Amino acid sequence: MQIKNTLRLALEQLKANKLRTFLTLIGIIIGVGSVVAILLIGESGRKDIIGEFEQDANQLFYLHLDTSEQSKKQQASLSWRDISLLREQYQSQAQVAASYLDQKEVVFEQSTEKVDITAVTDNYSQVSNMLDIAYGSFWEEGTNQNVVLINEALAEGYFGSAGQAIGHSVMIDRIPFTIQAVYTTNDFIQSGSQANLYVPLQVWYKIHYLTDQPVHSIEILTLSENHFDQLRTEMVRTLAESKGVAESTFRTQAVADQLDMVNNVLRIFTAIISSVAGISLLVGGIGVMNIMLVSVMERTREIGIRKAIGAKPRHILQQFLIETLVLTTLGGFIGCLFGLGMAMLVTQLAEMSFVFYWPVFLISFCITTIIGVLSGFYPAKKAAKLDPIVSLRYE
Amino acid sequence: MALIELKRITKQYITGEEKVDALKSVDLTIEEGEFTAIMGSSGSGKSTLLNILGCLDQPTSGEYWLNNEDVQHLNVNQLSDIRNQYLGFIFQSFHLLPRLNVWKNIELPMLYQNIRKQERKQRAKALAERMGLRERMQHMPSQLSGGQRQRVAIARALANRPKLLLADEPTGNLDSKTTIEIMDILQELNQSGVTIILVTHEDELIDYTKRTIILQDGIVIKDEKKQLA
Repeated sequence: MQIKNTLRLALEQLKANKLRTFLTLIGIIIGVGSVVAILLIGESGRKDIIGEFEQDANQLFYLHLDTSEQSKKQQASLSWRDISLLREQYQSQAQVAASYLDQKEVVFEQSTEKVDITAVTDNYSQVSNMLDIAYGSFWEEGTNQNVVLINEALAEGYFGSAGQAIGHSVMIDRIPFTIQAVYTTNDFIQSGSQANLYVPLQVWYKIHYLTDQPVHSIEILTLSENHFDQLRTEMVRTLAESKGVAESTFRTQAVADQLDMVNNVLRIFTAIISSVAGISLLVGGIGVMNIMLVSVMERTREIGIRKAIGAKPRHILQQFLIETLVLTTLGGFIGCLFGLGMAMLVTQLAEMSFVFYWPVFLISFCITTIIGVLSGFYPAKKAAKLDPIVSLRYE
Repeated sequence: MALIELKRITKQYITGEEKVDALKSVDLTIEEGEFTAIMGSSGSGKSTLLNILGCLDQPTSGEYWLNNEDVQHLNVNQLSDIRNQYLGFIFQSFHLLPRLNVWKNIELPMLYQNIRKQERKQRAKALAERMGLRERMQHMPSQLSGGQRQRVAIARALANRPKLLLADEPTGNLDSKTTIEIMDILQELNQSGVTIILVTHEDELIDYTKRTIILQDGIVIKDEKKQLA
């Protein structure tokens, strides 16, 4: 018997029992729908959170002193001299930026707040992707003006809106700084850090008479991905040699490492929720098996008739298996639409950009096929084994 | 060579601790073109015999030759092929598939033999016409009278041009007028060369057949061929 006929037969059978078909499928629809929705939302979220970082994730790393107890004894420090050394030595291979962290009382209009301040080199915004200028622009290279970048929350809090903050002054340690730009940070990477203001590093050194020109963190953007790991170790060695300290004095941290971690966390998270949704699929599969067993029983006479007129066991097996597969695939299809809709709705509500991640549909098709075979095989086998004489007499 | 040859066929059922001998050494030869009635009271073994003849059941011992094939040693799939190609069944309660229309019901045996759609359609149409069902091709079994349903069943039984028709009380659910109608059809089929075995307990049907076999307690007690008048 050709597959085409069996297929048509299965569809007719399912159509004849519309309500039952639908009720049977609810489990599968919800299961597939949740898996699809979770995977799509997860992927959209991942792209949203780290998408822009992925671009140069493989070229950016941070270098700073290892602050664990053991290395503190070595009394090493980083300063502008080290920046100059690295810039000179790796001119053609990397851009080197630096930052110095401070904390000051800052007067915004009338109110005073204790704020973290990050003094950074002029190329900081090109090297690090931490800053996203929303209004205004980054200061010009070599500036000696007292300019400051403030974040969106502060700007809105004290000046009404980000746009209105530009041009106003704030007092840092009784010295006026003009607001040059308003930035947004990527909260996910920056989590916990309260670096609310950015000022030019050289200006900061001058104002606060920091003659030894200290630096807390060095940010390095390699010009290509190819020698990333090599440069990472070489730069540490160069610094260690120039200072006569052990290489373990320094630590490096690559954005790629962090992204890997974020990715892993997100994947584990998605996998856990998906497996919970998978339980619904399991329950759905059992429901399908149950209804197929009932169907085999109800159609015992039909099976007997078919066998009497020449159907082989494999014809009967094929008929019921295909019927189950049509059932679960249909459920999978509806579930996919359901999940797609849900994901679109959620991403819209969460103001995330929706990413259409098509492998999800392939995955759900595979899942429903597997469920179909698993839950259909036993009832189909049972049907195929029925004794024609007994089934013909079945009422 | 005979179409059917049964040699010392026995059938034993074991129900719990009791052994029931449904058939006790039955020898039977049926030639091509015969129209045989198998009669007997319930429990006489006639249904068991029909199941064995129809390759739906296997005898406990004995030999069964059908069209020169030793049915005894065939597997499930080969038996299915035999039923599909050599045999046609007609049942008391018609046994049509309720969800398929007349045409699809007639077509069914051909599906299991992978006959092409065009040929299937052609044969089904010819059979329906022969059974006077031309206007009923798209009807569902529930829309038909008993006699019409049985005619659909006969058309289906004939779909693969079988050598042997096995009719199990084909008129048991029909009124006397329809009974005559169906028996006329069977007789006509027999005259066109189809061998028919009819299981019944209605004496008046013997008028249509050429040979009568009476079973009692699993033994053939009477085997009578009619003299052609």
